[in-house]
Amino acid sequence: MLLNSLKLTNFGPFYGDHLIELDVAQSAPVVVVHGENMRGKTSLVNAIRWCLYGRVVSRTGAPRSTTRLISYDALDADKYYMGVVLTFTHDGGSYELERHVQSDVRPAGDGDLKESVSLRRDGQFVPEREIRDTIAAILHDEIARFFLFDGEMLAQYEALVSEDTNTELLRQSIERILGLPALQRALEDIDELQSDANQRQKRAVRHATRTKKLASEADQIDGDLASIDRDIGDLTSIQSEKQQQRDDLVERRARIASIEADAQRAEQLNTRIREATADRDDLKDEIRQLLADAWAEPVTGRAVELLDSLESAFEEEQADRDLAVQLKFRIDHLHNMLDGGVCPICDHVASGDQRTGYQERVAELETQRSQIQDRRPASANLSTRMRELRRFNSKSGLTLLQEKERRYRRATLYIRRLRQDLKETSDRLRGHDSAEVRKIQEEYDKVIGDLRDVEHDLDAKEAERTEKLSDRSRVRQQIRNLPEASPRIATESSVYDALTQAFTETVEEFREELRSVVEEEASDIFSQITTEPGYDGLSINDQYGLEIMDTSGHVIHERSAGAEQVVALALMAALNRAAVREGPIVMDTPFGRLDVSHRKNILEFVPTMGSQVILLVQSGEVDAERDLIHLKGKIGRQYRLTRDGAPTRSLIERFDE
Amino acid sequence: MTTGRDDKRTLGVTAAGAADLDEIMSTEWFAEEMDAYRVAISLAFANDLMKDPSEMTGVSTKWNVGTLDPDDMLRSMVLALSEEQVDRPYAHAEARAAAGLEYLKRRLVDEKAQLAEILAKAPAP
Repeated sequence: MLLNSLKLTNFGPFYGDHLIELDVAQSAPVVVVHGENMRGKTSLVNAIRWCLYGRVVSRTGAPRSTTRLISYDALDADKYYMGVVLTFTHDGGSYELERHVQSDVRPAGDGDLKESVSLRRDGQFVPEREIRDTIAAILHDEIARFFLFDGEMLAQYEALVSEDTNTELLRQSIERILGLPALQRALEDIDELQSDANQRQKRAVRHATRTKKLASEADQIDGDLASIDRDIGDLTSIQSEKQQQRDDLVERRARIASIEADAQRAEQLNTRIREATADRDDLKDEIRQLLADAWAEPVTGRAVELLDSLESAFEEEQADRDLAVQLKFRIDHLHNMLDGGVCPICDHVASGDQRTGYQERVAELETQRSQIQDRRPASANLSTRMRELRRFNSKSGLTLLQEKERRYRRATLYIRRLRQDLKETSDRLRGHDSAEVRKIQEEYDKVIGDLRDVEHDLDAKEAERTEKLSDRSRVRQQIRNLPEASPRIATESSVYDALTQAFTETVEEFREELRSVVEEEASDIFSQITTEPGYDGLSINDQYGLEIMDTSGHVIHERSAGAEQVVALALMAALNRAAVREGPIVMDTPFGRLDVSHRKNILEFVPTMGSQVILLVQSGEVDAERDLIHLKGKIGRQYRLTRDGAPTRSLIERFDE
Repeated sequence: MTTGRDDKRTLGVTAAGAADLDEIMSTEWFAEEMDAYRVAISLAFANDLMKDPSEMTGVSTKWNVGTLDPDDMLRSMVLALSEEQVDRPYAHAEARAAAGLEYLKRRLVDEKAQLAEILAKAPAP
């Protein structure tokens, strides 16, 4: 199977129609899709899964509601439609698989959605009832995890080496991809043939008196076995039902967890709003106080200007005052000379002409002095006014007011944002209460208890069945050895026994062989991609768990998170190599915990993993310039997922290296 | 606080001034009306605004000068900033206040200007 294109309509963050071409040449089999977190990388993988199987599971393994896959923007625009079209080739045929859901009203849950699926092979529609089986034959849902691979789920594969974890389902999936169930089905067929032969043998010997007891015992055992099988069937149904309930509760709990987180957030937001409002109120009080104290601030500029001009006037007045004192001294001196006729300083006796000159000079000086005194009354109150003005020449209040007002505006914006956040959080919380959380936990605990009981009963029934099968085998052997027994049926039955034994041994051997192949492949791949020279290879356990061996043949128990990821990737790649089917490998965020050297090794290895490898990476794990050089020439297509205006919307853009 | 013999001993607002003051107080930036009133007088001086005495009719009393001007700042402002001789500084302040309240209401309420901006800048002539 090789993917050609994926068309999305209103799927996840992809609002409207978006097409991504995926077909690549064998020489450049890698498609790289770059996208930061929340841009829709996982949505692309989910779209492929959903289109193929009509369902998507979360990273916890719980099924996800289809309604929650629909673009929020589409729902907000009253477009209740989501669709995915996947085109691919398989065994020389061209396929177009289309799945969509729609609703007449805003869907509150999956019950409101009408789902429709169609599949065309070489342009011809495949009957709807055959679509599921056709897809299963191409890439079965149970093995899809090995092809549509989420790096975040590597922990599941890492759990394979743990003895404490129940990995039975994963082991079964691994054996399914490796083709083991075909042999197991053969064993079941032989068992049916054996039962049929034994029924015929019982009929053949039913008239012999001494065999009646054995036949009756055989009937009893068959009846018991049928009853045990029915019980096992019933218990298995109950187990499935309980598992489904558990998964539903896990999903509800996950939803509730987000509600709990929202409730906590709402509480925190309320506290922050209260604190921020109190701070802002304090700031407002400070501003009010400032306005009460610095009310004269507006006149500061004017007061300063006036003060400058008054100070100049004051200086002029001082100069006039000095001049007036000098004039008075000179006038007094001249008056003394005129009054005594002799200069009081040098005793010089003034003549008549000189006295006339002194009188004229006195008159002149008196005029000057009078002019100065005329000017003086206007500046009499200068110093008082200047003192008054100096009360208004401080500008510190305005600077403080600017600062406090700026802080107040910032606080107001902050509170507005908090309130908006609180509104959105409260909208999400509407209709939920804390009792729901408790109720779900109680239900979950009860279902887990029920499941444990059912599994216990199933184990007991299986043990009972094994015992009955042994009894049946013994009785059948006894019947076969009776003289009345049909030799032909006895031979036939013996052949079935031999075949059962042979197949049982074959299954075990095949299983061993598969493990050995997987171990060899994984070791080979691990050696290629590990950067640690002390590691010799990998060793596999019954659950397909892989352990790292050092060069002395000892298991290395302490593994770093990066080493765990390398081992898990080696297992994935080995399973793909050993798989009975070929499919595209889609790896979502596979390099999260790897260092630069491992990333380089893995990137060099990636093109050899399959004929089509789609890598969905973010800048944190793969740097386009630094890391992709290791894929030089192997990249067939490159895309970038970018934000389309709103945070809930993404675009797919193609770009070349 | 000192007043001339003929000066006002209580100050207040005209009907229009009372309406302006109400709107100014609705912004919650002033703790008390007299805080806004003083700022209005100061703004009126800064922006050369004053109501003609003939417009100062129907004044309703708000405060006595002892409450409004306990430290004599208001009177000092009138005397220090007035270009001409002012014989009745508080009557002068009341006429300034009427014009200042009108200005403050326009800038703060109608134009939603920032306080620091209002207090810092005089309008273009």
